Amino acid sequence: MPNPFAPVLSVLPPLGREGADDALRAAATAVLGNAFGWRRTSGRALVREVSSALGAPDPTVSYVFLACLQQRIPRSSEIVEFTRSWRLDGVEEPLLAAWGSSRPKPGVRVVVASGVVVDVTETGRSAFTTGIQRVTRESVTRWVRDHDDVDLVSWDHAGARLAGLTELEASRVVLDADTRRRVRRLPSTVVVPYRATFVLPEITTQGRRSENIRTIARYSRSRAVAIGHDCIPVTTSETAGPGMAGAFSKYLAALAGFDVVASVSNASATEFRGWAQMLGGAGLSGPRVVPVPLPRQSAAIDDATVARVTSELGLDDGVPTVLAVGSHEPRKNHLTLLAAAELRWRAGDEFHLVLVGGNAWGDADFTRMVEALLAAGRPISLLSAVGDDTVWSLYRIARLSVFCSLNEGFGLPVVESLASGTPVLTSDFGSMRELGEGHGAVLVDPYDVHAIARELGSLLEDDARIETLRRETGRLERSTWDDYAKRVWELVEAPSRVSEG
Amino acid sequence: MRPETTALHAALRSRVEVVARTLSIALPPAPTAAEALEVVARRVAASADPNEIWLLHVAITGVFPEPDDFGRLRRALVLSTPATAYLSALEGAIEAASQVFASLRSIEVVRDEVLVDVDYCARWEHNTGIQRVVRHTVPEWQGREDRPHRLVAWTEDQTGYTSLTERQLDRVLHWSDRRFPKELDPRATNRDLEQAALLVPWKSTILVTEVPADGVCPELSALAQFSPNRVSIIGYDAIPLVSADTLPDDESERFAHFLSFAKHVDVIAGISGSAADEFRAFASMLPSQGVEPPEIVTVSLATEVSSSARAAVESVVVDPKEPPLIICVGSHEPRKNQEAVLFAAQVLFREGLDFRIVFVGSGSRQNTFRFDAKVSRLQKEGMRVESHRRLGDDDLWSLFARARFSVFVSLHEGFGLPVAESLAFGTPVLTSDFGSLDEVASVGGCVQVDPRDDESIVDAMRRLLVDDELVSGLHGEITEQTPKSWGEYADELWQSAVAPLVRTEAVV
Repeated sequence: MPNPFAPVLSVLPPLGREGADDALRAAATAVLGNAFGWRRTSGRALVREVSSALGAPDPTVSYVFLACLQQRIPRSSEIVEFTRSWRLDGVEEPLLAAWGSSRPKPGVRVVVASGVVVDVTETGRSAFTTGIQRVTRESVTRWVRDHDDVDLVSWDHAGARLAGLTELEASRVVLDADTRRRVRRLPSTVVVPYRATFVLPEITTQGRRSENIRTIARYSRSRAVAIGHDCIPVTTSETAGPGMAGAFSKYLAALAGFDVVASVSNASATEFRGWAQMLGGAGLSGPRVVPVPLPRQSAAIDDATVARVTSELGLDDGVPTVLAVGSHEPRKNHLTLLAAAELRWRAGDEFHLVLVGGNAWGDADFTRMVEALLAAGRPISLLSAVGDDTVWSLYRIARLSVFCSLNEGFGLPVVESLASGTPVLTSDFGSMRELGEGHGAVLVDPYDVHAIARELGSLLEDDARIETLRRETGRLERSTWDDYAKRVWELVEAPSRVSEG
Repeated sequence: MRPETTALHAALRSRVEVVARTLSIALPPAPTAAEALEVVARRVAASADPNEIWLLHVAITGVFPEPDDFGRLRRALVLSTPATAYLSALEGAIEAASQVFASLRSIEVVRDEVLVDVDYCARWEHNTGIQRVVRHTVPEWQGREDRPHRLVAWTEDQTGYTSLTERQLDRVLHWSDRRFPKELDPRATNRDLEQAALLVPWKSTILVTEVPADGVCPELSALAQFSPNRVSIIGYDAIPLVSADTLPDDESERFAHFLSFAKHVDVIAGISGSAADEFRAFASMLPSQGVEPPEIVTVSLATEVSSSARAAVESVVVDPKEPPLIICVGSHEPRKNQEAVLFAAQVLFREGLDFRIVFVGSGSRQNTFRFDAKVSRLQKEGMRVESHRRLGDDDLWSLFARARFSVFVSLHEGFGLPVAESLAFGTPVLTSDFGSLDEVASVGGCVQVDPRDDESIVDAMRRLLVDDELVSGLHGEITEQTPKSWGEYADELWQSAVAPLVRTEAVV
């Protein structure tokens, strides 16, 4: 009989299969329950006993058995092949082969998880704080604090196995020590989600991880919920670094099998809904997209800190400060801002331009232009890797901030500026318009350098206009991370749709 | 002055003069290159008109700008004064100019015309999906007074449009009736590239008939955004994004680059309602980035097969004693789902049904190795199954003629040519129940299933093998069909994607 596992089976030693037996028992217990008493037999007898208890071919059952026996998420081709072999020859043959080739690592336990499983891989690995990681940390900390049965998991570097977090990872993901103590420790385990709720608050651009998340969403009969940040790498690939659009497409292919995407803004929902609609061509329906806008919170900064930052940065000379927060990648459109600022300086305006943000892909033109302007004596400050206190102080110090990005899922710098009571000059579309309009923002076409220069000049000159805009910032609804985490959790918890049609 | 320098100056002066004429800028009598550029740069800097900046870039560098090149020149001009406009223009274009061999190029401004971009078909000897569409469609417009156009291709270094050579025209217009031998053009030397004659569209309409090469997407994107031309494209499918799980990352990456051009065009003509829907859904994502979405229209591909193929199929006499034949035609890759068909056949063979199944289609070794190994195992079990990687037209037509039905249960297609072909040959089809395949099957003659459900494929293939009434019913449906011709497709494409964009003043 054709069987892909058969050649391996024939060379196996008959003994020393306890690890494989345990993996088989874990799978059988998850799928069939404990009633059968899987401890009574072992070895091939156990395989036979389990086989006779399994019913009609079912890819989800294939997934669970393969995952437990291989201690990793199986490839979808393996699941399909196993299920087809089951259909043709009965389950015992492929199961015996999978059991025979199973080589569990000694001391590593398989845990079939059926609660809420939250994938925080990148956030756990990174000491940096991107927008995505910030959302992940703030949300996950509150979920762990407020709910039981939340497991935090992380993929290995190959993207093949899910495991519980290490101490270091937990300390990077969960923001306070008390809550951190609530994280269930899963040392030396391989986690297999089954009938679970799988939550992806970050994104994945690692191929194997994306593929495996797709497998979980498709085969594990779990509810799958993601926070959707944006689709920029595929809708605005001209602003994405090399390789990003391809890897991001695989991430979207994984999301195609999800139940819900909680998008961070209405503009981001527009992107995800459009993408979900595209799936119709492949006969897929895609996730429900529900906008859950990120919070609009500012940090309280005392006046002493503001005064200290003002003098440290030499901004205490009575000249107004224009602030721009964002990395130096092309999408943030800093080149246009620099050109507009230069037009104002030439026109005789006096202001400090403070740019907060790190180096990024494709920033050669930016660096060159800053150098040229500095050489010409323009008052530009480049700050990177500064603390939160400095950033929040700068929002207080600035007369206005500028954030004329070409595409954003949310646009944290818009909200941070407005929540600090500082008017912002921002782009006249998408999430930036959504956040800023009527809340103290001036909207402008980010491709139009003269328009940006004109508004910049007006905002530097017109005190009454700044006052009006400052008052308008008070209308911004100040929602909190608690509100946000609660609203996403409601989507995590909601029962699966009864019928998938 | 050294002769090389003199030639450079002459070429630059000539390009700038062309631009001056196009923009109606008066130049001093017999200007030097510097004098001409001084006048033109000053005027373009003052107007700040993106169209003029785009054209000035072509004049200075001899290449179409990418968006970043355009941005550099625009910033340089924005920050210039009338006195420095000339130097700023050179400074803003130097980076683009220094990366190519283009300094001796001449330019011809093509104003108020229609340009049809057939780049790949002009330059390469390859003929599958997209090339077949182009090579069937474009010849329909030749010699038609109401379809005036020029065919264009990109320079080999992918920096600007040129006209086609005789050999290139032959590849596009006479694919099945060649005047020249089927061999590739010699590679362009740096000298060839440096002296190329560019066609520069101005207030013209450009129809891009292929999915453009990755290397020209930035140039096309800048052209669509900043030049005064209108652009239409044929939208084949969004498979590399929607079904990214079935393809390598770099194909999805290239497709995203294509989308960053496609989002700026005026019209996308989807090759099926389903392909059009995919692009419409993509267009609906664009307001989030402030981009005015393109208009999406549906121009469904032709479904006819050549008369010689049809005659060949009709001449085959089928021996009723042969076991029923199932054929499965299409390139071999995961998306086409051949594994599921083979599995279904295996189930039916085990059930004792008597039939022969033949797979036809090329594929990478990575995609075919396991499949072919499985086929030989099944042959040893006595199953009548074959897998052909290459098959001549005559053999393929003979298979269509003999087949009881064909199977094409792909997971995602832009159009589903194999279904249309099978029906045009009079052979019923088992196909998928969604997307473009659902559309092409809607004319009748097909049984449809969910291609992700093995059991439904098994059941449908069983019914098609044993139920003579079902099959003769399908034949009845096929008899009533009239395939759509390439002439009709070419007409519809012109009417929907070209004619509406042609400026009225050009027609008058």
